Amino acid sequence: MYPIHNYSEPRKFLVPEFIIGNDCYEMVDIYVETFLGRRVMIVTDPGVIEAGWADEVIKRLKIAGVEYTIFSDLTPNPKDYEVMKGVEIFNSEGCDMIIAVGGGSPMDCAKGIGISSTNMMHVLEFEGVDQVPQPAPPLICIPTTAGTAADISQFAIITDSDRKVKIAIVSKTVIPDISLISAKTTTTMSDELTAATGIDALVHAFEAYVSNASSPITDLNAIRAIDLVFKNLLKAIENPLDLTYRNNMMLASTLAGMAFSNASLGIVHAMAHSLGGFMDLPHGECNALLLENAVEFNYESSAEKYNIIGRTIGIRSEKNDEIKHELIDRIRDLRKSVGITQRLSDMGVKKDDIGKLAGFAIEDPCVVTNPVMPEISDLEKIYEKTL
Amino acid sequence: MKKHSDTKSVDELRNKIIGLGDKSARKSYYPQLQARINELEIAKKKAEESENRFKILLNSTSDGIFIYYSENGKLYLANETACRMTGYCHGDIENLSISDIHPLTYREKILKDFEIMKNGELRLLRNVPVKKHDGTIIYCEINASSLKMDDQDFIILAYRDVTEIRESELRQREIEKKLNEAQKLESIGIMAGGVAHDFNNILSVIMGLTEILLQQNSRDEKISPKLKKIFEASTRARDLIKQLMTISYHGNDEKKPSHLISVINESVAMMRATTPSSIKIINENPLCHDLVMADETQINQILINLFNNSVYAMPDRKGEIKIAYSNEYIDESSLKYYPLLMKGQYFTIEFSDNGTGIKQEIIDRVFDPFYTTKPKGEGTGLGLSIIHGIIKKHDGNISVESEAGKGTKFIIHLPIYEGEYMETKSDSTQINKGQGRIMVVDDEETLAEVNGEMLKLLDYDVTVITSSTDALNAFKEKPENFDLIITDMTMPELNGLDLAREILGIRPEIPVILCTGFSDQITKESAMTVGVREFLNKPVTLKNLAATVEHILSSE
Ligand SMILES: [Fe+2]
Repeated sequence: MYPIHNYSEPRKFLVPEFIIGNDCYEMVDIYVETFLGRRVMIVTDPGVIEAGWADEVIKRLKIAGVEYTIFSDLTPNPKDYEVMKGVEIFNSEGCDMIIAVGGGSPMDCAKGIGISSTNMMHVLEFEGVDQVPQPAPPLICIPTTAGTAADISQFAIITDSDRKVKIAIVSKTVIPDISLISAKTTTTMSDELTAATGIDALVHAFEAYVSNASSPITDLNAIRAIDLVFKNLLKAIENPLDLTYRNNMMLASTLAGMAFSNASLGIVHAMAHSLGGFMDLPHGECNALLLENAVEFNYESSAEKYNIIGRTIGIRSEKNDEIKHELIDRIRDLRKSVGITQRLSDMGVKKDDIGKLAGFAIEDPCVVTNPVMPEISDLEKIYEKTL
Repeated sequence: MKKHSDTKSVDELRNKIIGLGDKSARKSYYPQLQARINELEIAKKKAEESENRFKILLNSTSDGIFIYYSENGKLYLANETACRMTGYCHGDIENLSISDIHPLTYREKILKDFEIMKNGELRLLRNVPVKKHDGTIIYCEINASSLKMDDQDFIILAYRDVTEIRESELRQREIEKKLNEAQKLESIGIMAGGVAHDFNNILSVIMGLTEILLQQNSRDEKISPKLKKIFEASTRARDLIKQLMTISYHGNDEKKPSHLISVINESVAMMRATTPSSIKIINENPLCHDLVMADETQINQILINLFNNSVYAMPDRKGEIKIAYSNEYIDESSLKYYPLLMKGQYFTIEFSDNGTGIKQEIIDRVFDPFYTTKPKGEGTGLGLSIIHGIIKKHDGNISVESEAGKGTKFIIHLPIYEGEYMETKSDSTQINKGQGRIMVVDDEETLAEVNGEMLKLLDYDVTVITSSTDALNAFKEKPENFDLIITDMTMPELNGLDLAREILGIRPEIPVILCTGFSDQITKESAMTVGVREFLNKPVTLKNLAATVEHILSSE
């Protein structure tokens, strides 16, 4: 049931300190005091404020008598200028720590603000791996979605608004100092958001599992996350206030985060980043649409692992071809059952865009950990099939 | 473009992603923190050292440094010298404003000056009075500059104590004034003396001829009284000339070691007789050294003049005149006050009265000749300048202190004579005739004739010659024909002294009398070494001539 690993290659496993459990966000003031925060910048977005999760944090800060500044002037797929605006406010308000409350966008934005402020550099200068010289101010993440796992990962994805490209900042310095993970915060998500983020978690687990940088530890997390998503995502949507499914989805997201943060991703994310950067399309949906064709492309190179995934989700076939098709069918069924039914063309992607999108995707660092190194034409074909 | 096609770069990137790149190694920020702390420690130490150096520098200067806030004048910092200078201690001084260390009356002005300095123009303030903690005033030179520290404007002031320099400058000015005064008096004296010399010669002729006429017409009731009046008037004129000549420093005098207290006592006794009895005269007679090389007549003259002045200063003839004596050693430090004196032991006379005093604005002029406050006809204005001249001739000093309405005090310093006191006999006053062959030499014909006539009157055998070369030739021809030579000093070609030298070269034992006028720069000592036997002061009187000639010829 377990793949054979080459232990001669030494591996590292990097996760932040995190607390997982309902209501744990109420401990936020303890950590603000521990990190000697005097003036906190709360990075969030209007939706989260509306859902009341920012207020939960402010309530605790008020009790602790800590001053705060709210920064919510940001959009999905956070842009470089939004980050720099946050840096300006962080500096001018004399803030000394950051609390990110929300999904991937506020958390990635908060990471960018932190490193840009201490290093006095533009956020785009950190593009690449290990390009951040100095650590950021203390960062507390309180995720309100189950999927992005920015509260776990050493990734921060920021859109370069000039080049219309998402850049990846990979560094230990963007790992939060503490994450307070409570599934209760995900009960306010819409069905669409639950679906999109849930599929994002599934893709994280899929890509980390078959990544050429996977390790026994990342495999354990990834395979368990795939299992949890298949068993709980639809039920979470059907019973949005049932904390059982929400907790399982949050666990799936966290495990998938631990996996992809250390094993990285593959062509689905490379291509989704390209779509997000170039056309500002939602990350979860793009992932959801691309996964099936990516599995088809990758299957040959990592059949053994895909077969284990298949067995994990209850596929009984023995032949590779059958397993592959059943696996793709199960993914398609899940996607459609949670309501993601459109195609890329429905989201405005034209055939003419494909060359450009593939060009950006082939340069994405996620490509290098894909089980097989694709040609640019391979990526073009996958885009075409997904149109 | 396919960036990731190169296997090597793909492997590298993958390695980095899975956290095995060089830069992925977990960083401990402790060393960085430690280094930063060390940096701060070093910076702190340097700051302390720098502050120490600044303190040492600040406190080593002899100037008082004050730093104050330019906006409100409050002191920010003062150095040790500033504290010592003003007598405040640290802690107290920082509570003051800059104007507090100046006298009340000066504050407004100094604040105005500082206001100008604030505008950046560097300025030096001179002789600014500074009020010390104990209230005493010192004078400072102030140098200012401005300074910006921590966004605050400051003014740095360097105070230099110039109190002593200022005093010595004032003293120096006083000394210069005194020297100028002395110089002025000297030149006036020379001028007066010059006039007196010529006048003296004229007077000699008048008096000589009058005396001769008097002798020849002593029984003529008609002419004799008139001649006597001419002689009396001439005598008064001669006395005035004598006084004029006393003003100058080169006049002849009869100095000898004298005990001045007894000399002054005699004068005082004389003045007592003529001073109204309502004026009290206190003459203290303490035990002190009073032996001074002095011309007693001139000392007497001083007393008479001082008495006259004091009595005049008591319009209601009531008051007190006090004469006191003491000894004073004039050393280096007291020379400041008496720049004309030499170091040494002095006999000091203080002559004071409680009369009307002298107004401050004219006190500098009282020794000027012909300067007088008396109405016309009551005084010549020569009194005090004569005193000044006499004292000058005695190598002494006279100074005056006076306050209008309270009285006047003259302080006279005369150098103590270190030699021995000698008794001298007073000359007889009788005119005696005698016998002898006398050669009279004077280039001024009338004078020569007058002297010749006087000697003839005394029955001497006289040869009058009006040229010194003729005289020498006459003597060379028959040296044995003369018993005595009387020659004038100042003559063309061969002066009196040279003639005496030539004559004495031929006949060393022959007596020579030298007649000297006021301007003759000759000391008795140098004339004596040539062999001159005696001196006669011009104008030569019959009495004097008779006594001198008789004395010399009788001792032959
Ligand atoms: Fe993702």
